[in-house]
Amino acid sequence: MTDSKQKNILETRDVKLWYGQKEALHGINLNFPQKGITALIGPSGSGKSTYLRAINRMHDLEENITVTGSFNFNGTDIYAPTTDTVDLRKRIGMVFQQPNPFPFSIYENVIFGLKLAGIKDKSALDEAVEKSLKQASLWDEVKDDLHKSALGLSGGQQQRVSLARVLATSPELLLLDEPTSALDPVSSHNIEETLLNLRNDYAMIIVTHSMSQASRISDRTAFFLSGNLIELDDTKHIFLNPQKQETQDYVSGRFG
Amino acid sequence: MDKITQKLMQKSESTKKDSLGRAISLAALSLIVIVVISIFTFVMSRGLSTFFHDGVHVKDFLLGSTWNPSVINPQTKQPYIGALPMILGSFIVTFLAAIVATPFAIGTSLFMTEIAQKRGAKIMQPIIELLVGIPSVVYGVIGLTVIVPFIRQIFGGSGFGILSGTIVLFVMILPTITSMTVDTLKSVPRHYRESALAIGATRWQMIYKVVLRAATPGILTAIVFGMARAFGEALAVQMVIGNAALMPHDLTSPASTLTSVLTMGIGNTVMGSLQNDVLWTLAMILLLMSLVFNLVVRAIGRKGELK
Ligand SMILES: Nc1ncnc2c1ncn2[C@@H]1O[C@H](COP(=O)(O)OP(=O)(O)OP(=O)(O)O)[C@@H](O)[C@H]1O
Ligand SMILES: [Mg+2]
Repeated sequence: MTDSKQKNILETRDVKLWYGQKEALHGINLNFPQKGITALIGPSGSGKSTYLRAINRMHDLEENITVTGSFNFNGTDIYAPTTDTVDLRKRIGMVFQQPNPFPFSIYENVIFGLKLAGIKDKSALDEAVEKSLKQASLWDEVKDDLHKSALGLSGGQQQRVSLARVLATSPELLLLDEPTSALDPVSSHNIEETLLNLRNDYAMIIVTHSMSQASRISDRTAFFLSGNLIELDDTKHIFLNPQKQETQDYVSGRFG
Repeated sequence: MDKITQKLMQKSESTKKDSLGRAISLAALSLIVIVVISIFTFVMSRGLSTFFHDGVHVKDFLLGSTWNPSVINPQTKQPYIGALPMILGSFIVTFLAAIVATPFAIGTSLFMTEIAQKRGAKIMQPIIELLVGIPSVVYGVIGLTVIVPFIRQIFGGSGFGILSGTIVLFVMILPTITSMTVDTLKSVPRHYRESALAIGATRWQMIYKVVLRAATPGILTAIVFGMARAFGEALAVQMVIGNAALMPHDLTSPASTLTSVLTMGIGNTVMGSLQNDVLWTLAMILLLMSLVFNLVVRAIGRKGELK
């Protein structure tokens, strides 16, 4: 399966994960199409972040974490011994819960990934900065302050810098772990708008605690519960007529 | 008034304790302030009397290259009070020690925080804390019995001098700079590392493009602290530098620093004499320099915050 035009950008089968002795994921089967937003919802501790971080091998950073199962990412076996994690993470971007621009200027933040890739040409970098900041809906707000520290921005703007920094490297897949949960409603709204604008060009997986956010922006929603995938369906089905009782209970606010 | 109202009107036990605690802290604080101010006034007044009372020119003092306060220069009818050799001596050993120590300190700290966290925490951390606490006389004795003979064998001469002083100071300030650098590196938020790696940085790229850069103000502060310690160190330096108040012209001939001249001389002079006053002036320079080091640290801190 080295066909890069495969139907799904990412296919994961029977994903299990152990933190030491403790099994946190009990066999997840989940596929993601080439474009569009998939939301991962579920109560706290249900394994959403754990699953997300398995996709770009962030668990490698810690000891005592075991991952099994198959991850086929556009023909690349993510956990194959020959897979270069550095290269992999260039292709799979990640945005974290806390807005976390580096303590550099906005400009330097956005070109960080490009610099790593060895791009030095000033005009190419300038262009990429403008393009990424526009994609992240931040350009108009910061275009005159590109060389000011990113830490001087508001939380929502910082989060969009983090987003622009990831978009600059043109990843094939974007992972977002509660990208708006540390933000005020207006900033959250801006990020949501941004993601909606990107949904036709990118495959995105977003973990969120906000059901309304999931229903507003995602095409498909996956419901996690205690390390299991309970249900995956089009977002409107999940929220209007879920097949499983647990899903029904969760989306109607009966627990979690 | 019934009992309850009365009780409510009185200050409670904890309020009383609170005000007592406040009074004690305030007293302690005032004491410290008074001590600091007195030290400053005292050193400054004694140090400045060289110029105002004994009529020495500031220029002659700072730029003169001959130091022998008990001998009168027949031409100027003034004693030889040129402090430049010691001033230079102090600055040279301080900067050399800092320059040599910095890469070692950064390397060691990176090893401890980024490469071998476990071993770093278990083995290196206690060693470094121990080294920070060793009294300087111990470093001096080791310098005297190991480094000086070693330098003598390699470079000839007496073995005493700036090189030996630098090496001893290097060993002394290395743990200081290292432990402070370790603290700064540890305080670099984890999410900087995560997002650097998540965007496809290698471990080394993450370290030198993000971690070291974010930690730069802290590392600079550590270096300045090390320099302040080196600049003010008296005993260990005095034991290995040779204590000849001569202009330093190479690294392996005897020289001196402000502190070594001060500690050697202060017991042999009479309070109020010019010979004594000039030593106070050296002390004043030391004091002002420690002030400068402090200001530098603060400036770095403030710049780090603003970023
Ligand atoms: N580093 C870790 N070490 C040990 N156990 C962990 C670790 N991280 C998460 N877990 C456990 O794994 C399970 C899943 O956690 P995870 O963080 O993936 O949940 P989540 O769905 O993202 O929750 P939240 O919505 O609160 O972010 C939880 O039981 C959690 O306690
Ligand atoms: Mg989570």
